[in-house]
Amino acid sequence: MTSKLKLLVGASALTCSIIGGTSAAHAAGTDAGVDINNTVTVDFQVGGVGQTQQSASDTFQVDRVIRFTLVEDTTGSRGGDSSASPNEDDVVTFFTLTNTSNEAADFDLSATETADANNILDGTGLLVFVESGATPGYQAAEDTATFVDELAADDSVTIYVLGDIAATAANGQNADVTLTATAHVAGAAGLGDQYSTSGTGDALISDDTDVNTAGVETIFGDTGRDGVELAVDGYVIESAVLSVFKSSSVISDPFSSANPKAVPGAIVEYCISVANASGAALAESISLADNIGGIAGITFEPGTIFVDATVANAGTATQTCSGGTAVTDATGDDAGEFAGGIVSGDLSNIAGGTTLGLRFRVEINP
Amino acid sequence: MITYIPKAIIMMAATCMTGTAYAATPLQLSSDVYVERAETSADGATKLILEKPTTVLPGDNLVFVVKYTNASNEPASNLMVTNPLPKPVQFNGTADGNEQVSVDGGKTWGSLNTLLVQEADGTSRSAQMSDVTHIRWELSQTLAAGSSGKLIFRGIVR
Repeated sequence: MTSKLKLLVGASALTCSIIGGTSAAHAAGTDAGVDINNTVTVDFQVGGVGQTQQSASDTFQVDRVIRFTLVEDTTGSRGGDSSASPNEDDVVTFFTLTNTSNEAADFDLSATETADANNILDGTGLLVFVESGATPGYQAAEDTATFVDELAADDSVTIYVLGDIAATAANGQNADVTLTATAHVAGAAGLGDQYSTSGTGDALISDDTDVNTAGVETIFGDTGRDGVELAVDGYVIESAVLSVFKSSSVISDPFSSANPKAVPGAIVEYCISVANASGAALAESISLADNIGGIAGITFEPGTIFVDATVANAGTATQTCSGGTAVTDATGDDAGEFAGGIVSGDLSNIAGGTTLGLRFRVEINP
Repeated sequence: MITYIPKAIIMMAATCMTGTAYAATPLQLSSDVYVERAETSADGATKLILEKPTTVLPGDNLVFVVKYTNASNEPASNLMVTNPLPKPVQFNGTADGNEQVSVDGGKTWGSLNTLLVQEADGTSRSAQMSDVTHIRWELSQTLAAGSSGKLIFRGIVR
């Protein structure tokens, strides 16, 4: 039953500006099921004599609106695609689910790969976990719930989607994952019945045309009015792209004062460069080993190993190393050693677009 | 003259039934509420309609209609209609603008722009629609036998 509104247009214009100042109890509004009971009384006189006060009232209930938002978590480093390395397991992407219903709700969650042209996800499936609230960030031991139980009106929760990256993934490749949240009835332990417009065993959404002032009806208020929300996040592969190049140069010979030659008794310096391609991820824990024991005719020159050397003309025939950190030949005391005919050294982390070198010297047997 | 006692009114309100008209009393009173909805027709025009509160959600605009009828054979005078606002409803103006409001549970009355609200820190500020707890109308005109009237106010579900 409807009736046209004529009388109130003036009042409407008068009061619109105040609506923004409403001090509602919370953003999601009055809880579902709350009675709104309006009672009016009238005092009056008849023939100058006060009469018994009269009153009348009208009651209806606030209905339930199911609405929520699901978005990619963009706080700090969680925003954008999550960076991952080839073969890395349990790489986390982050989502935020907010219940803007006027009642608590449960939410079922599922994640799918939606754009993975290079198959960087290894096909073992995605896992979805809900932040427990005990420790911020994904904690495998704590965040074990796979659905959202009893999310109160106005509350938010962080959802983690975990993916395993294939060993074949290459730098710069990416994949999208889509998280789907579905509203379910809160109240009981575990996941309640799903809210839907049809479906066996579901909590049905009320028919809008029912005249039912006493009961609490349920409608969808979310985007699409279907009780289902989606959000997309992704992975991007950021791996180191290393290239190694070895060069040698004659430092001195017993006969020349300039332009030394590789004659017996000459000292030759080896320069091994490690370059990380521009735009690639930081390369860590880099170890080099050069087995010179098998090379006939040369002898390691003790005390000549340097790590983190500066490299000039890296990767070319004119490559040379200089400077760096001197390390001893002994085993286990620092970042380099000479043992069993093998020269080895550990380099510092190499950022994309930069190069570090290892250098050492040998003598051409006289 | 009658003395207005807020507490007594609230007690009575709690015990009275919906829309009941008492045959023995000379003045009949009814209270109805409607939900205001914007409906867009096929030609794109938007019109406001009032409907029974079938589905009521936070933020909905409500229209309260109070009707009074003098069912006696004598004129009634000094009518004072008092309507405490339900807690989940924020006041949003009346149709006639002749109301007095209270922002302190019915202790003091006046037009909204004359009232002040005491803050917790002791300062006071001008009252706003969201502060209103009670509305009342003092009708100066005598209500003739058999005649009736209507008072309308708006609210928003918090």
